[in-house]
Amino acid sequence: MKYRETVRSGGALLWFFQRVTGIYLAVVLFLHVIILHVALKEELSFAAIAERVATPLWKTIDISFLLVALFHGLFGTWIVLDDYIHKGWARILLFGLISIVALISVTLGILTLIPFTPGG
Amino acid sequence: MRVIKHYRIHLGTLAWIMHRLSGLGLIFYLILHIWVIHHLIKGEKSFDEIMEFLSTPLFKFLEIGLIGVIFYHLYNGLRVTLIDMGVLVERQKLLFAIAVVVWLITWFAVAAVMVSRFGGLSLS
Repeated sequence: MKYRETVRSGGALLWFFQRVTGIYLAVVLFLHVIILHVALKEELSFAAIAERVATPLWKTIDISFLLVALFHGLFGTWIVLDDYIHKGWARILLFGLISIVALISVTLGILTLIPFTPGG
Repeated sequence: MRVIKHYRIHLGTLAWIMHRLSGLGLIFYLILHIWVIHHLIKGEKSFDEIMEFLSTPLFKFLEIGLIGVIFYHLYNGLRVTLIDMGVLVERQKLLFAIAVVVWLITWFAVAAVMVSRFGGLSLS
């Protein structure tokens, strides 16, 4: 098994970005869990979610949460695969697959969050 | 087999393996989560149907497990970030012990709240 020694420009920057996004997620994900799963007075309903997501602050938080979580998670997946997959074609295939999953997930998430407006 | 017998898993290695496995689990869950929540687009009826489907004891049980995976990745991630920044590098075993204690306490606290709701919350 040969180990590919590649110089990836921007690798250190991406590694640093993984830490920065991680800190952001630690804060927002913790709040997400507490607000939506612990400090609940009633069962989550469509109406309650629609009202929350319609506010500009929550919409901003939720959209940034979506983008940051997907980046952190999918880039993290790539970091793991990068360690074990050494064949060129397999790397391209998996990277392409991750990119497609990223594109679909971002689109689906954004389409879900955008339509909610105050009073609507 | 002899190689495996002599391979000693250090605490840091265990934390690292668990970080990778929990991370892979979480991205898999996140994609499912986005798919579930996208039912909001299809309107109230569609969303309520999928939420009803996910309110069975099996999913409530899985949700408690999910909280444990999230909290492990969260606290160990903060620990790794601190070490990367050069903070408490010599005390990384202590740092891991703190992360594990905080992990278990917060997980059980959230799990206790979730279990207490198994009968269902008031639907007002």
